[in-house]
Amino acid sequence: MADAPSQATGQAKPMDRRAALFGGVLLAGLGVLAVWLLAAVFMARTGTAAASPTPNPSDFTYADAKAAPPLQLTDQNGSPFALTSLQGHPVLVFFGYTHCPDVCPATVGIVNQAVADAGVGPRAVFVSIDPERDNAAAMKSYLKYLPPFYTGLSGTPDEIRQNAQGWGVKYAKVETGSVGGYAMAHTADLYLVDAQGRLRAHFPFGTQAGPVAAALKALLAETPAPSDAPATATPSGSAAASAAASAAATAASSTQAPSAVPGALKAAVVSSAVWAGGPDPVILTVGDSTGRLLDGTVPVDVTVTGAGGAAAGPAVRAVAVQPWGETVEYYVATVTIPSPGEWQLVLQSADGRTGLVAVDALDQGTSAPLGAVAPDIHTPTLADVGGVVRAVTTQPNPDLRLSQTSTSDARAAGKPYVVVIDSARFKVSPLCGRALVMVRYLLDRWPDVVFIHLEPFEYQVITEEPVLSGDIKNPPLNQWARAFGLGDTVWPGVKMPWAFVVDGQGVVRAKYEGIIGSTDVDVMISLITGNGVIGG
Amino acid sequence: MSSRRAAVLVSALIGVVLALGACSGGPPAAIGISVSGVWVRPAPAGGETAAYFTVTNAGGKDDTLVGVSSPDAQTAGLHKTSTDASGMTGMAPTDSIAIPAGSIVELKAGGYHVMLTGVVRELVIGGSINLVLTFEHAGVVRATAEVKGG
Repeated sequence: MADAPSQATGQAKPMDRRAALFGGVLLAGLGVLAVWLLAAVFMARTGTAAASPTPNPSDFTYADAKAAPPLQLTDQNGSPFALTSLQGHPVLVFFGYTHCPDVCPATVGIVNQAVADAGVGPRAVFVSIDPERDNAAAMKSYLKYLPPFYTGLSGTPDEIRQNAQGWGVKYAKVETGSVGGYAMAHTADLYLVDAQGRLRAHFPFGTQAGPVAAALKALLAETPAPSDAPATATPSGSAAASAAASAAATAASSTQAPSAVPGALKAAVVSSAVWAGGPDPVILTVGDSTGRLLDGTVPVDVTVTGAGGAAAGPAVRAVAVQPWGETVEYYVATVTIPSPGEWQLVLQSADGRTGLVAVDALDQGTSAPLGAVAPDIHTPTLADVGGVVRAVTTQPNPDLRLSQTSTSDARAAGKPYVVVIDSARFKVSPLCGRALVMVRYLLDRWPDVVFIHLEPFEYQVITEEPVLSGDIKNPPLNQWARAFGLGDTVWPGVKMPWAFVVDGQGVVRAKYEGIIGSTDVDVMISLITGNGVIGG
Repeated sequence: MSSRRAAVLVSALIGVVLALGACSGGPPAAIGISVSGVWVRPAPAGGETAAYFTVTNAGGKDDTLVGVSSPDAQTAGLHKTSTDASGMTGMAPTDSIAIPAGSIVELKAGGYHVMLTGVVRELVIGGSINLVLTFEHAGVVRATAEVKGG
């Protein structure tokens, strides 16, 4: 729960890159289709939604406000969630699934645009109707890409069914015949709940951001200005602290907001994970006031500050890096953030421009610490297991180059290495297997770096099918994963996958958990090998 | 092999050759068909995303988009999103998309799109991904999709 504050705090936080990824995708092109859909959906929906009477077709609002149907599910932190916990804020509710490539990101884009237009206060709730693939961990990973006002809900198939029925939401699995599995067809409408918990509007799929923003503004005008209370029920006593920190952050950013300063810098965090207790290389893109990225020739200094604006360390000169063949220049600021939670990075360029970006620093727990020598272990190679492929990887059609060199071999040769701790077969998170896809891409890019795949769990190979030694709900970590410190209890259960980037001197330079961006690792390798460092 | 089939194959091969010849820049040389405004949403490595673009058929002959692939994703397919009578919105694979003579067909959110699964690297705003589109008559058209968050 180390990063719980990231979900609990406020509107003031500038969108990081993850948020911007899906942010503001306004579908200007929906035009004709939208009209068509509106007509079709309206006809189809009238009388079908258990949630509601028919909304006013001109602005989608209801004449009579009734209590919204309940939502009682599990939030992205694994905590129980009730819609009533968001009272005091207008809330946009919609149903979807994280593997959804078209419809749900479109809705997210509409929501982001509408909230941006309406102003501070609204919340959004994304309810998964795909209990087979989406759990709290999946929702949490998905929310990394979204602005902080989102809550992501999941539950058991029965719970999802029950909650969806209350809203008149239908869903069904659709086999797509692709390797990628199945899709979900679902009611993709957007619901607006007011600060008193009443259902006030219902927007059919395809409604553009304008009417949604208008309805939000009307609700914001009729309710007292919402306090910036935590968006989700924070399980510990830190709720008040988070709220205070958030309020302070609001104050700080309203006086220092980059967009308010002529010539300001706009920064976005690229790193998939930012860790407290550094030295942590935070990867940033830095743009000017028009959003155009700096090309790496302008020096930028970075200082860590608390919510109140007090510096928590000296200014650090960021290193500009452009991995070969890439079009974007990145700035890497290796900073030490004192403790987990919300912090800000203040940027100052040599030509006097300043900027500010919020980061949520994670607790390193017992994982192999940044800046320290990596565990001196010998991860198993194909040669060690007599060439039995299944004994070193559970990946179908594995790339055996990932199983030829051990961490100790790389260390002895003074070579940088990237160890990816992930399992294609024993999936404890929906993200499992993705790091293996990523590393195969990087493998071809960096022939002088050793890439190693390490299966995290103990299993036996008796037949062709590997068999886990214990229970997939509580899988036994093997000795090598333990050596990297993954047997921590700081996180609820075991989070996967992990990747550690270790330099030629054997020092852990970066590490990632859950979502691992290939860009992160690419930039780190460029930095470590000096290949692509601008002005270096 | 029927002669029509052979003609398609030949034109596809020409498409490949011309496209390769033009890889230093400039529009694809496919006859009458042009593809523009190609973009995808960001995705994590190994994740799913959708690609969108506009196809213009300036020629006098009807054409059909019959296939798509990407060297940068495990699978790529033509999909269509639609809403059924019960109000459920979903997507389904579609074999082809008609591009009538003199028409402009948009692949856009909530309608036709290219579904990509297992993208080999993270798609970050400002980055790109390669697509290979196959038309019944115009043959192969290569396109580079920009990663955009909008």
